[in-house]
Amino acid sequence: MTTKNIFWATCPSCGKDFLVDGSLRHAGVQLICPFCSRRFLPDEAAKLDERHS
Amino acid sequence: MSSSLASVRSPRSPVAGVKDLGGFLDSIKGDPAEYQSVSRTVNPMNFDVTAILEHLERSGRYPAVRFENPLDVRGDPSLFPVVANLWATRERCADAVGMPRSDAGAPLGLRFADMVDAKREPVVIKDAPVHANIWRGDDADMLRLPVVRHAEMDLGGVLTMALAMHAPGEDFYNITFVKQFAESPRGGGVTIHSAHLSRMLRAWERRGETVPVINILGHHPAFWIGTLNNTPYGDNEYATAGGFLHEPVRLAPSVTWGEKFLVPADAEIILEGEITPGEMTVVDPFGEISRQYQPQELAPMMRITAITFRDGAIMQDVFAGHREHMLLGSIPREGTIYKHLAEKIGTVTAVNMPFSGCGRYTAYISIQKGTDYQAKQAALHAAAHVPNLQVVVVVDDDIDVFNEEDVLWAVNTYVDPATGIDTIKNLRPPTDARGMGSTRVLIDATRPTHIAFPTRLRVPPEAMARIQLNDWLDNPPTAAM
Repeated sequence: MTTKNIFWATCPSCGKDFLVDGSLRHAGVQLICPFCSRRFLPDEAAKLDERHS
Repeated sequence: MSSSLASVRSPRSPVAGVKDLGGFLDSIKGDPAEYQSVSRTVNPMNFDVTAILEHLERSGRYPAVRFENPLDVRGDPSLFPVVANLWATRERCADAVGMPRSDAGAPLGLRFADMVDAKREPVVIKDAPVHANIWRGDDADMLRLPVVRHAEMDLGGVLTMALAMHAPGEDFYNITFVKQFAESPRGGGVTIHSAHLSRMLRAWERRGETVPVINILGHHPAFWIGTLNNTPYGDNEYATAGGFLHEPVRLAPSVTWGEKFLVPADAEIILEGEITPGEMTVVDPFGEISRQYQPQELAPMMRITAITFRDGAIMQDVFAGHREHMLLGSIPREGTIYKHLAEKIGTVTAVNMPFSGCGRYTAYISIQKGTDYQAKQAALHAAAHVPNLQVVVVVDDDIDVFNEEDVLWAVNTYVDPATGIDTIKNLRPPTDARGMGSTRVLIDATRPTHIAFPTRLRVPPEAMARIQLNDWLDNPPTAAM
């Protein structure tokens, strides 16, 4: 299976998970939580699910 | 023409003999199966709009819905009603281009493919209805629109209509559906993934110039259907849209760039703006055509220079990941595949891109099989011609490709997995995450003819023609029977 490189990020504020493109993992760009608008770097996430095929 | 901020809705001023969105809605508004309105105040950013559409879909109803009193992004009453679900049935798509509803099946895609060649050159006019009201500078505030937040994980409200763009020094326009995120009053990211728009964007970027671009937030449905067909780079899609409208698209010089950029004069609302090469912003997640979320990513920022709108303007929205989104892409592709197969193998009888494949990734194709390998040949040609296809199922012409139960019966009954299913690996992966990834699956579900094999049972056609239910049932339930 060859699928798009994505990961799940868990927001450090509201604890909800959202989907992020793999290109943003180390791009130095702050993610935006779609549920509470908190901005944070991937390394600041409460949890990352980076499993990939 | 007014440059002051309007605070009350003006009555519409339709132009005699010119098709527009309001006229189309008037034509269907008498039929509750086709058109519903919601007068109660809705908050599109709080999912009121999509929850109503979802309830309708779950009950098997697909009317166009006009929300008379939506709130804007800030939660204030919006100047504009919003309409969604316009293309949610094939019959309404047939209405839009002036075809009889009885042709809403396979003939519709074929007719769309023919209309691509019936281009009508646009005409340029001076007094454009869409310039009746103009917001410039800080007044050009996107957050005053009734932007819809569609799915739970979406990164805010998203405008789901189409961008128009031209390449530097060129006078042809490409119009492609994209997402524009309502990030701030004067700007938001635009997700440009299509080949033609990307090519134009790169051409501007190579020159280091800002990119003029408009977002068209409403027009007659035939205008949009015209822009959705696969046309070669260099085709002027204003001319293609004119073919579908059966009248030339009227254009007018834009407010921001004058005659250097022409805008559709009979649109409802137009956002004019510019993309600065290299300026990116965070967009997504967004519930997309695959009914999954597009992951968060970076996209070009479009900065708004002006918002123009006609009197009584209606903002249009696509219910993303649902039937209208699917049909918008599937019907033109069905015609494209049909014409291609007719040229290559000559025995195609119908093509359907079903909702189960999101109207994009699966094609059911029926053929009059002449030789054993013709089904595979048809599947290969289709997959090569429409690269986004992931599953192609070829059936005999006695199978109705618009009846998924029929198609799956053929798959269950005729397919020998050892010889009837082929996979092609290591092709271009889709832009979203899907289990099949870079693989395509071709299924020959035609009745085997190289060995003795049963035929499908049937009641004799003569008997079916002779017996009409209304003549025989004591209490026929509906006139339609």
